[in-house]
This record gives sequence, structure tokens and C-alpha cells, in this order.
Amino acid sequence: MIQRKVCLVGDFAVGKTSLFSRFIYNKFSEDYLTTVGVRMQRKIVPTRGAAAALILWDIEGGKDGATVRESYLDAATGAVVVCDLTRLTTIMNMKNYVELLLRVNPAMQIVLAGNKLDLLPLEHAHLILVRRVAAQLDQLLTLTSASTGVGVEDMFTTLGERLIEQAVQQP
Amino acid sequence: MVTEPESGLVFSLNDEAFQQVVLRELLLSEVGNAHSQLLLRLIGKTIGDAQGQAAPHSNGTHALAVAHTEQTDSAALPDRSVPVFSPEMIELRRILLAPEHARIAQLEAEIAQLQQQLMSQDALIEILSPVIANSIANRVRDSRDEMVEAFYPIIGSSITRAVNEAIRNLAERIDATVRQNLRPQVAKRLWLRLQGVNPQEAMLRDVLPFTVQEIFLIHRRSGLLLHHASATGTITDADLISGMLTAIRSYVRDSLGGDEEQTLDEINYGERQIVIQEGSAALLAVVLEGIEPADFRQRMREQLSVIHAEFGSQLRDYQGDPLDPETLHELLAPLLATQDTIS
Repeated sequence: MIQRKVCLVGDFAVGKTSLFSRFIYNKFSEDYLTTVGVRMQRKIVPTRGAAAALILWDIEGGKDGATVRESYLDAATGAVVVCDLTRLTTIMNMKNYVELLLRVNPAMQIVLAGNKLDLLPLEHAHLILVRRVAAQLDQLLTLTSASTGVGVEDMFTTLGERLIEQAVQQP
Repeated sequence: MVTEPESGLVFSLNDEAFQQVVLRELLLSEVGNAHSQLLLRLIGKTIGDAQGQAAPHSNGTHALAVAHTEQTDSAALPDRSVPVFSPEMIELRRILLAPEHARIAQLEAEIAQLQQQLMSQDALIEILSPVIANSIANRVRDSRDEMVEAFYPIIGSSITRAVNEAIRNLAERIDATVRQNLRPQVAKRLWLRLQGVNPQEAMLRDVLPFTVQEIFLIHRRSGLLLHHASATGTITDADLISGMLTAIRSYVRDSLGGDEEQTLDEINYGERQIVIQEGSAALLAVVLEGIEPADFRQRMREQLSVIHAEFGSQLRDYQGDPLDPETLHELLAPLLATQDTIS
């Protein structure tokens, strides 16, 4: 089976582990536990044509913009950059993470995840801002809520599909 | 019931009047002092009031006769409405029970002292430790097998680990000596002797138990699992183990510093160890139990070179597409088959 290393990155407490848990175990906990080092899990996503095993690396959150242990990102082919829609700085910091990821692997498949959607009213200014940031970075944006589960499965499946497409295009 | 054979009188021990008489008798026999005289008067008054007659007597037989009269004549019984705790009675009780009171006071003091000792942990330990020590000593002596069973789970693994450690050290010591002088068998023995290594120790080294349990071939950079061979078949998440091993190595290198050459190449846990051999694109992690043969790492290196030669470009640009599992299995099987054997 094709397997792909996928990293979850983003500032601390944006909900990387929550997205991870929602996707892998379909569970959500209100308790905040900071991730030390890295957490790893494998999930098979059905994609058009073939299934792919995503080896997810849930990496401990950066404290002030893209202070990720770069060796954890080594040879990753996919990444989810997560921000907390309620915290402006985490939205702005996505740029740093995207740049870092593209430096590690220029062919990296990236998906941006605007998380904690359930905490914002529909017309919140942050939603407009995050779309603008995504457009500027030229990356796909998904709005998610690990709490309610909205968008989580879709986001990972989309990423899986992109990774497989990429594999097909490459010889 | 007390029966006096001659007179045929019958007294009940529960009879209040009888008790009073006996009491008087007892006092009289003791006394001569003022207290007793006072008591005597009190009792005499009580009984006399009830009977309308009868002065106190010092004669026991008469007293018994009085009691007899009381029993036969129910009208002459003491008035039960007389308060039991009249001041006289309280005085009486005080005097009568003085020794008991003293005794109670003494006991209370003792109890208080004991309570204090029970409350204070240090004092309690002081009291109990000789007893407990003795009882443990006895218990150990009397039921040795039971004690061994109870303690083994606690200390057994520590002992095993310590022994393993000791043997490993011995093995390494011998290895170090042997490595310097690779000679054919007979010459080797002679050489060992000359080097100061006991040939028996060297032979012991050759028969130390050793099993390979798992082999992971891991893509060095991504941590993705390239192949997994198992002798136990119990591991279900080999791809996560390979990822975590890689992450741990990265973490150690990043945190403790050091260049690419300095890497984590061995992890010990309990009786097992993970031996890691790194190649340019892939690394080999072997979980083994016991002491690995001297040339085991060498063989790991050799297999890794063969794998690199076979899959060169595929390994360098590896992104997660499966490699030919059969070829990999063939290449790794010789390591897995290494059981208790040494060249």
C-alpha cells in the first residue's frame, strides 16, 4: 500500500491534536494537553483509484511562529497547517509554517485548516481574513471544527487524494 | 442460692436486704474506724427505718436471721421508694468504691497515654517495629517458599536485568579482546591465553542466549517503514514504531547536539534492546533479547549495504511507494534466522 508521511503543524493550542484525534478516533476532548515531541498515528484514507495510508505526525506546537523541530518534517510529502480562527496571530503565523514546509520539500502538498469554527459567528472578520491569507499563500483552505467534526474528514481525504494524484503524476 | 443446712434458711443473692446485711457484716469485720461506724449507722438507719426496729449487730448469725425475717415478712421489706443515690448512699459509694475509682483513674491515664502513642506515628513505629521485625523474621523462616513467590515479581526482573547487564559487560570485555586478534581456532585459543583471556570465558561468550525478535527496515529521513520481519508476529503497528524510532533519534540528536554521525544506535529496555544500524538512506533497527554475537552489527551493516545496492535510487527518492517486499524479505531473513548461533 502507498504510504505518505503527513505532518500537522501550527502554533500551540490551535487544535492539531484535537483534529488528529477527531480524524483517527472520532473523539474530542475539552481538556487541553500539550503535545510533547510528536504523536503518531496511521489512517487509511480511501481515494479515487487506490487507498493510501497516511502516517500522521502530530508535532508539538510552535510557541512564536514556525519554531518547529525541522527534523520531524524531513521527507514529509503532505502537511496540514492549523490555525485557531479565534486567535489572530495564529492565522498570521500560517505564512511562516507554509514557507518552512516548502523549504523542506518544495513539492509538499499543503492544506490550511482554520480550526475552532464552532466558536465563531458566521460573519466574523477572522473568517474573511483567513480566506485572504490562504489566497495570498495560494494554498487550499478548509474550515474545521474538531469539536463538532465539521470539515475534518474532508480535509484529510482531500489531502490524501492530492498526495495520490501527485504520485500518479510523478513517474 | 445459698442454703444453710442447719437452720434450713434460704437466701437469695439477689435479695436486696440480704445484700445489705452481708455488706454490714463485711464492714464490721474490717473496721473499728470512724468510716465504718458511720456506714454502720447509715445502714442501720436504712434497715431500721424499713423494719421499725433492729439496731445494728455485730453478730453475723443474727444478721442472717434478720435477713430471714425480712424475706418471710414481705411487709417488712425496705421501702423501695428510698432514693438509691441519697447523699448517704453517694458517700457510701464513694468510700466503698474508692479503690476501684483509683484503679479507673489509673487505667484512664494509661489509655490516654496509649491513645497518644497511637496518634503519634513515631511513637507507634517505636512500639511496633520490634514486633513487626520479629514477625517478619519468623514468617520468612517458616514459609520460605511463600515469601519467594511473593517477592519474585518485585525483585526478579531487577535481578535478571542486573545479571544481563553483568553478562553484557563480560561479553563486551571479551569481545574487545577477541576483536584485536582474529586467528584460526587453535591459534586463537593460544592467542587468547597469551592475551590473558580465559578460553573458557571465550567459549561461554559463544553460547550466550540470543534471539532476534523484530527487524524494521526504516526510511531514514521520513521514518516510513520499508519492511518489517518478525519472529514473534505480535507487533501490529510496525509503521508507528518505525516512525517513533525515527522521531526519537531526531529528538535526541537535536536536543543533545552532535553532528549527523552521532546518533542513537542502541536502546535498552528490560531484557531487550533495539540495535540500530544506519545506512545512507535507510536504517535497520533490530529488536533482540539476550546478548548479540560479536559480529552481529557487522552482519547488519553488510545486509544494509546489500539493500542499498539493490534499491539505491528508490531509497533515495522514497516517498512511500511500496518496495518489492519479497526481495526485502529475502535480504532480511538471514538476520532474523540468527538464533543462538555464532560463527
